[in-house]
Amino acid sequence: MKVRYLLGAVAALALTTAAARAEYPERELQGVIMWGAGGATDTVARAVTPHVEEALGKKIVLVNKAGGAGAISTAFVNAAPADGYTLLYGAENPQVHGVLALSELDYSAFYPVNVLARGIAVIVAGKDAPWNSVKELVEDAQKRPGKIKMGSTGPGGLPHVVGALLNSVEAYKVTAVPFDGEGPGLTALQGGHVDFMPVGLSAAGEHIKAGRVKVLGVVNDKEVPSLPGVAPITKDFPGFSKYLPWGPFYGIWVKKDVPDAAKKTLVDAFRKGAENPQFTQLMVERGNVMMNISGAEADAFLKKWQAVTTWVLHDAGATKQSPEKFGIARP
Amino acid sequence: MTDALSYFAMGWLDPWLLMLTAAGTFAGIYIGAIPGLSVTMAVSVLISFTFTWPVNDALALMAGIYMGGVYGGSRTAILLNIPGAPSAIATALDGYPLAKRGEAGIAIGISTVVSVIGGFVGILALAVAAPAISDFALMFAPRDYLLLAIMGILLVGSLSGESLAKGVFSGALGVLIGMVGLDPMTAEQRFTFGSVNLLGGIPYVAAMIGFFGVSEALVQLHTLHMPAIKQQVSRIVPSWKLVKRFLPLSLRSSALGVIIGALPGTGGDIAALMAYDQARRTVKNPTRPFGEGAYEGLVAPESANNAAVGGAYIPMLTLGIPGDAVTAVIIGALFIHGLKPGPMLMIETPHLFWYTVGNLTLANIFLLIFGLTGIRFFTRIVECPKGILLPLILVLSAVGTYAIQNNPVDIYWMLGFGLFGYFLKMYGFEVGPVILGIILGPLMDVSYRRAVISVEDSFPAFLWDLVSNPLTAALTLALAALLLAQTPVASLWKRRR
Amino acid sequence: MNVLRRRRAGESVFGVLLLLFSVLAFVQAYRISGFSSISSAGVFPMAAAGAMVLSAAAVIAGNRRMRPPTDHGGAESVARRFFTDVAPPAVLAFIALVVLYMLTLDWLGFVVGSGLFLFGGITLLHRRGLVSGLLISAASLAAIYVVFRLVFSVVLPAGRLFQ
Repeated sequence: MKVRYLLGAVAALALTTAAARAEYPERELQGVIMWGAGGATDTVARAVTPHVEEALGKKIVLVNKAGGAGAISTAFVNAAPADGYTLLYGAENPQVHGVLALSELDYSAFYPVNVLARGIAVIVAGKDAPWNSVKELVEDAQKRPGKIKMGSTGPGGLPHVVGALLNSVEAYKVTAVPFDGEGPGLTALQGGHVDFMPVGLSAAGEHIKAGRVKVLGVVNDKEVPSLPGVAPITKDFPGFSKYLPWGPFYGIWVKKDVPDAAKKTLVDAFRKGAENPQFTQLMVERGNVMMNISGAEADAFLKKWQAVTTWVLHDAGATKQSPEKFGIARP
Repeated sequence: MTDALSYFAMGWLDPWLLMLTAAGTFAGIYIGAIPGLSVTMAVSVLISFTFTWPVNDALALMAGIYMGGVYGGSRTAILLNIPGAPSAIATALDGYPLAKRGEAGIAIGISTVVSVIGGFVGILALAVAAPAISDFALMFAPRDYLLLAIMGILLVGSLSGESLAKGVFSGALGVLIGMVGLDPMTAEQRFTFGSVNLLGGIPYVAAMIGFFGVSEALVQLHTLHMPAIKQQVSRIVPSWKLVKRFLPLSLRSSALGVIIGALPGTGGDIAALMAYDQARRTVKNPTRPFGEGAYEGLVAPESANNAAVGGAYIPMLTLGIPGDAVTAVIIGALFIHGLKPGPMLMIETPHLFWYTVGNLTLANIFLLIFGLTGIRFFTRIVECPKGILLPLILVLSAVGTYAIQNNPVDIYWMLGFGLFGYFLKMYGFEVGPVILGIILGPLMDVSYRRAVISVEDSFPAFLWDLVSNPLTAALTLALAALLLAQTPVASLWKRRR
Repeated sequence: MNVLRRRRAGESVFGVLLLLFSVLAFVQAYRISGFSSISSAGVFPMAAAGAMVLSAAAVIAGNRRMRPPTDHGGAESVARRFFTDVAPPAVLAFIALVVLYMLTLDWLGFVVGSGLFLFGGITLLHRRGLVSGLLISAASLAAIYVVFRLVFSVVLPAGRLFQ
């Protein structure tokens, strides 16, 4: 009697797991992109997805749900059933939502299916700017505090964070003028409406190559292949190295309590999709560093990124709440 | 030169590319005509769809959809008072009154012809003056965008209806609606009441569909049992005489459209509104008073918004800077196809520029053909019994609103605005200024603040900036002239003469 | 010339409501950032809300100059005018249907909710019998589904009832 019951239970369990493995994904998936059409996150999402669909054997319907610097998409995916059919395509933003008092949700509520790549930041200036290195820029800014205009993208954005990181190494004062994104900021830079801007290499690469903006430094600890001869920021500011590697990143998340079988299927499909040479080439040419990591490895990366960024923002007085409140330890 | 010519003709000589451009234009007209289906969205969907295609095929299709879509918005604006796309808002102001008079056929005919004229002006500007125009567009500083937006908002004065106070109220309400959500500059929350759903703000297409379409549907219930207006469809293509009469206005509006389209911060919607405003000020003897079905009220915005297409391609092809939301998505598509959109695009892939010019020209020709056919079918829509049409408009508005960003909450906003708009209309308020405020309010807000932040929050320095730079000074002067023309001083002076 | 227009039933109340709304909006706008700087996030919201307060006051003043809605006054006859001129039964019934549609959309999902709304609306307004109402609403719903769901892959909201 007991044995039979046990056997039945084992059989049932085997059946259900087998069924789950055989079934997922049984219908098309929905991918929620946290930024609008045409943005960097959107472009990365649309570039990787066809390769993933191939590995997955099902379609992923992509929708843009921009707004609230990604908070809306994050909340939406968090509210969806944890069945693995709703994916979040995101960037680094939710990691600073807590300290900026935008939303309590960050990536700790999600499982990283894949952190595809991270971008490298550069500091660019107008093509007729008087400076030839970040050092000259900082010295000039110390001489005329507030007179130099920095293009920004609002609190928690890349220019803001890079500016705060640099400021914590060597104090200086500039006026940050926020634009709607890196593209509009670079446009203003070329029109001479701001003087310099920290920006992702992926957004500035082509403008640098064409000589329309002047690159002052790379926010990295060594030279990058696509910008030969451009000094890494650690050359003049060795203190910067403790923050590196730092940059924006792109990835795919699902809710934490999605069944493990589904997680595994997704991780495999995205790893395979991200390995596609066409996609890799696209990402590298745009000045990104491929990561293609998932699970615990990705979690560790996300944690470090969050600790570095939130504490520097906090020390710069740019936060509304202390990182401590969210249990983020000082790095 | 022969190179340019052969690139230009690429899309014309290959039957497959020719077919794609035609299909794109045709689909674009219908996508534009359905509220909520936007060109931005269609092009995004196409990216995954055309992923494995050669890039030229994808670009041909996208150029067609873009051209057709910007024009298609005028259809529903004229027939149902629901602008199918934001760039058709100004078209509804005189187009819908025309449909109410049974002149929907000729209204669509005129829109088509002037859209094509505007399209050609835009393409011509792209072909001959792209580098100069994009350099000019880069010169616009935040303060200049502020001045442009203020010029646009002055249109409230002429859209006020029975009282200026009511117009100002509607306009200010629109600005307020536009402010809802996360402030893009400080990440401060405005009117969100702690709701995550409000962080992204209220999409202005939802407000547009609610205030224009749904409220009008409710007003129509008052005359439910009156027979639908019979539409004259005998004369659709405007006579040569009519076209000649409107040509100067059309060209003027197109020039405005090219510039506004080429500015990276503004697109076809603002171009159309400013062109409409310009027509109201400059046309001395319109066919009918503006707002009651003046043909001029169609000619100006419809020329401008299609001219803005060519304009938006200018910074995109020369500098890799999108001129509007659609070109931003096309830049993403180029990137996915392995090209490198940016200032080097024209050097690394020289064929792309003239190929695009050729495609747009072709799409514009197809626009004339498809635009002038099928009008009879479209006008049938308004002859459909109201008892069927009105519930259908409601559902279409709901799904269209939802489709903008897949957020069901937007449907509630849209319907709420519809009900509110109905009462506003019943008590003599116009809803046009609300939309004007929603579109221009955020532009004014961020431009003003950027301009002030740039001079370290010093108001005197901000004022000095308004007159010290040649471009800004010219815009300030233009704005002052417009303001003076609206005050009693001007009318007093006129009367004395 | 428009000063001579008759006030519509409910117009005075509507004006007061708008003023009230504007004042509340101004208070909310002030709470964003107060008068902390000339480039703060609250500047434009306050300017807009301020313009609303002033113009709403001007609208109320304009209303007072108009002739009353009815000649023999009386709240009862004004109320009657309201339900014939501003919100006649057809409008009220349709608004009720729209509100019902809004409230049930979350539960029924888009397809079922819209189907019921279309059917209800068409039978209410068109009055050509249930069968034709059913046919028309089914056909138009199918067309919407094909265009939005199949062609444009818009994932329409599913009802909570069916999850």
